[in-house]
Amino acid sequence: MRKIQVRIGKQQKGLTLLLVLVLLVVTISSSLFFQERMTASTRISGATRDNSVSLILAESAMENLRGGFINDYPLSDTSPPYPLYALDSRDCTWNLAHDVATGIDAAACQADPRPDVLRVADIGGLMSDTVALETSLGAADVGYIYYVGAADQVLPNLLQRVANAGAGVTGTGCTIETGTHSVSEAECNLDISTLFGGTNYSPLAFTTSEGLLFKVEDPENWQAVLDQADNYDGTVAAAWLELTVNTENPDAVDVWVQAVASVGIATSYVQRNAGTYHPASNVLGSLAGLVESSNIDRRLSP
Amino acid sequence: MKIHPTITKLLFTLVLCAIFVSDDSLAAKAPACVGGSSCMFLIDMTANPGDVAIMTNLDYVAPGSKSDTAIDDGIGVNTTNIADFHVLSRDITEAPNALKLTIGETGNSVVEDQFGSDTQLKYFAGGNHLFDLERIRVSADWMAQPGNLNPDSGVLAGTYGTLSFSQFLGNIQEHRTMYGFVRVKIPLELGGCLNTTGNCDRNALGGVVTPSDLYGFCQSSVDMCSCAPTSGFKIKEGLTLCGLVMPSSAQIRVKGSLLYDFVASEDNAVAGLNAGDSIPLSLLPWAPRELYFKVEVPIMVNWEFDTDADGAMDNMFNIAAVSMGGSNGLLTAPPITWEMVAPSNMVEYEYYTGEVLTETVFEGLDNASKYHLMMPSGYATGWAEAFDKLNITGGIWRGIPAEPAYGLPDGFENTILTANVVRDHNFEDIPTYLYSGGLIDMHDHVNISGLVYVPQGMELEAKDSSLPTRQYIIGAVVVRDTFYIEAKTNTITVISSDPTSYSTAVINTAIVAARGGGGVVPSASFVASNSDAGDGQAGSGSGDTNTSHITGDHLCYTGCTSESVGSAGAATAPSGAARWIEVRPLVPAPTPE
Repeated sequence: MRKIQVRIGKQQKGLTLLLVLVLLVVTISSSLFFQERMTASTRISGATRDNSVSLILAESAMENLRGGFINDYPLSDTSPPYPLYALDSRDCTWNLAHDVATGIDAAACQADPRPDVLRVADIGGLMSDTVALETSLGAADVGYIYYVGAADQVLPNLLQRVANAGAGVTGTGCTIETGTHSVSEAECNLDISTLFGGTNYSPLAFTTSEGLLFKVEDPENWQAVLDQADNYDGTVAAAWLELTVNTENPDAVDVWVQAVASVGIATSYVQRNAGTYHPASNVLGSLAGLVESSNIDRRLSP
Repeated sequence: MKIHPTITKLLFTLVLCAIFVSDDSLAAKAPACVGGSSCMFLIDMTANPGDVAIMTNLDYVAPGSKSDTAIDDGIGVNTTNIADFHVLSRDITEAPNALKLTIGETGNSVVEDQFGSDTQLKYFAGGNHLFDLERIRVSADWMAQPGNLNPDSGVLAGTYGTLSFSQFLGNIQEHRTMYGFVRVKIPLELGGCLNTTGNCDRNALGGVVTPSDLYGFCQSSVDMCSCAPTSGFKIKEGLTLCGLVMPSSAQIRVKGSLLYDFVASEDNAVAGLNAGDSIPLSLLPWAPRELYFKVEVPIMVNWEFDTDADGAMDNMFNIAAVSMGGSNGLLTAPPITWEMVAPSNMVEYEYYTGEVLTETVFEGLDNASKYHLMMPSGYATGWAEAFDKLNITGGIWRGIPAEPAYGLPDGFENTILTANVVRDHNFEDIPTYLYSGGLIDMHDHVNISGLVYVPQGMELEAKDSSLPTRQYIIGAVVVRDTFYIEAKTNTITVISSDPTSYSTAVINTAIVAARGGGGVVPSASFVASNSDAGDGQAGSGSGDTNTSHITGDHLCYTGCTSESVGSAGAATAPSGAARWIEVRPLVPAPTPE
């Protein structure tokens, strides 16, 4: 059998080497690119996670404040049977009014009914005057309610100011009056630490531990919140209310729940309208000389 | 002559029948006074034209008997024992306004049976008290706390603020006037519901309960029950109560506000009550009669025009004479003279009109105004006396730790509050005579100025025709479950509607919420829904306005018309009295499946 010999010349040997080198470079580049992509992906994933968690945390903090009004559950009522009415106070009120049997503990409900709106007593107690908000808030003992300027703003902007500062814009120029909780009207960016005024005013502050939300009790300042958070998951959140004047009626107040939460490098800002409130006087007015106003249909045998 | 045995039996039977017929027990079952000739129960609506005299969610029966009412069995109607009660009103269609008499139950005088209807009164919506009694409790407790007030030297501790039942009885015995917020703690005992009406398985809110979980009159004499009302209790001359003999001079005398507050006699861990804590309606019996609190001595709260100090208002006979024997229609020549004007009303008239009331001015007034000037109110002067005796300035009044602080006009920080401050529409009116539950029964003279508040049942019975008993309330009466009014021969009962003494009283925030106070349509109106016309359903959440009310915190004396008079029940909340309601779009009520 005849053998065929292939001879590779010196020039051909150089090309081969070059090809190998190119392949090697491609391989290395691919590896580096892949590694970079993997790293970036990991980073993005973490950021996304932090962002999601911070958003959830902000929502949670906000709802913790808002829900505190709406679901005025009698935690002190520890004696069984536990009433069902707290699950849906609106049904309770309505069903009682219409004598519809729904399994709701009517007696307990009537004895301690849940308001089905924002707990007006808190706001009413706060604004215990009919004059301007700024005067009313002067007597306030609720630290987590703010308004801007002379209580004449028609759009909320407190959260935006906080977001501006948090986004890297220097938080300067904002001041808060101790007695009234009025944030200076001049255009300014509000570092969140400015919202913490010791015993005079302070947002509700939260942190988490193993995913559970905990309230930071009476923080003197924002640093105190951060310090406490370091002992747990390192997350922080704050929630407060901003009041604005309703555009349709200057006597009505729009209530906004606002919250900010920070997890890792992610920070979320959320805001929700909590309703429009009117200083409707609940004075008695005028009534008949002799009134019977049973809320129970006593025409029927018990 | 021998009488046949059958005839003997027949005669004996006739004698027995005669004895039986003459027996008081039979007479007591019949209305004590009929025909309107020898007794009087009237309601004066001249200061509040446009509103009917009597409004009820349940039925109103006239004439009726006590057994018709929830007072006995917990199944409710409201009753007066006479059919020919009088309603005196202001006819604003006449010029000048005329005095109009309406006898008995008509659509103009009574609106009844509103339960379940669109016009159902909702003063106790959701089972709440109409007023925040806790504010009054806190205020009374604070007043009684040593060091918070600096009363005049003659005002003894134990005559103002929160009192024990024993202190209260002591004040009655000693004829002492009590001042300011007077809260009387009346101990009840767990398991004390005696079931006399067979309804101890229901609480006062209508819920099914275990009878032993309810409170009732004390059966024991331990703890706070050592001085507490028991079954058959009454405050009456000659009786010994808590070791105190009630003398003939016994009177309940209060300048300010009196709250009878049922409290737990001992700790109740299950209900979360400590001894002395107020008992909620959910732990009180369904039938008011289970807590029958009878008073057979004069009740005087912010009383007025009682020169002989017998507890009765002096002008009662004059008032009764105006319509006695009259017939339906305008009273064109009522027997009202200048001498019949209650002295305190001259001051009131000048305050509200800016004009000194002279005889000439009086003679120029319309008959309705003249009539109302016979009705004195001691509401403002009563509170002013309390402020003076307790040395309460505006600063102190605002400093009472009630939430929110009581409404007050500005400028009296360091000044002891006066009657004119109380008359100011920025002064938050305080209900005058309140119970936290049960059945109140008033048998003797009554002289009360202000709002009477009864969250269960009330009996207003002018019992003693020999005095004769005169019962006078100027303000209004609000009961939750039922009322029974009894007019006996030779007695007079007058309820004079007078919004000046209660129109700025602040109602419970929970009432506003429970009756849907937020149902105002934002784009339509943002009006304060505190009072609407005629139906008395303040703040019913249907966008009510105040514009159609005639009188509110102003008296209507001259030229009263439906367009121009009055301030519509204080449309503006007094300072410190505001609450906030949510404004939401009006949505249809859900439909039951």
